Amino acid sequence: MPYLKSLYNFAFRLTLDEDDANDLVQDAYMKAFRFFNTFEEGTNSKAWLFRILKNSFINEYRRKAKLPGKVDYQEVEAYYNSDDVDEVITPDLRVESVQDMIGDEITRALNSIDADFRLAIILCDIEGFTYEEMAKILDIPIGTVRSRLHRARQMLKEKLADYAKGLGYNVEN
Amino acid sequence: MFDFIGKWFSTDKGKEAEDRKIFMDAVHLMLDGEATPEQQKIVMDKIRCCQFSNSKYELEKCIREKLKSLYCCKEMPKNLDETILQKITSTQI
Repeated sequence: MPYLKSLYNFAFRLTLDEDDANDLVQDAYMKAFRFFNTFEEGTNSKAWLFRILKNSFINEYRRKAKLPGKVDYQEVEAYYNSDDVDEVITPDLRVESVQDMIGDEITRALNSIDADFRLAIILCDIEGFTYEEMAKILDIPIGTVRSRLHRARQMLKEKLADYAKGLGYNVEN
Repeated sequence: MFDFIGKWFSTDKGKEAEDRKIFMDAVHLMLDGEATPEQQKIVMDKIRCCQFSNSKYELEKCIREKLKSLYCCKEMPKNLDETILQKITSTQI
């Protein structure tokens, strides 16, 4: 079964629940089998499968779990687009503090950011998709991929800085 | 003397902030494998001569490596592949 482990990891990071991830992966493969004729030979099959799974997540799990609606990107991007953001908001997180964090802090930080931003980090930093592939999976322009990644990383660093403070590291700007 | 005062009140701080932004954008592009050769050169030149830039680069790299190492650890349910195959087979019958 191609990319099964990656897909399961991806599904779990989206749903944050093992059973839901299990169902989501099964659903994705069933859809891939059913709609195999829509796959363009020569294109990235992994990206295609991820797109199916992402769409299933959006269609089924958000509705079922009654999660909050889509993030108001205009509000988030206005906040992070400020010229001052890199000066004021970006925490002075240090390599040592990140290295000393155990898995829990980092996964908690990642899981605490909104699914759409979390998705961007997972696809790029963990699964290694290119911006172009991400644009196809997420069905957004490449420019939006880049800005969403930028925002997601800012958010993640803020969360990690909070944990680092808890560990006793000085993260003053 | 007036040259010195002029430089003191110059917009160097604004240029510094802009340079930092260009550098960090290039770092992200480089770590994402999307940087042009020019952008890679900006990063490599900067981290060679500036400790602060080097630490920013190392931090970004560290966070990604940590995420990747943790992320790969989620154990998949046993027999998931068999379950999927069974479902596919049953739809074919």
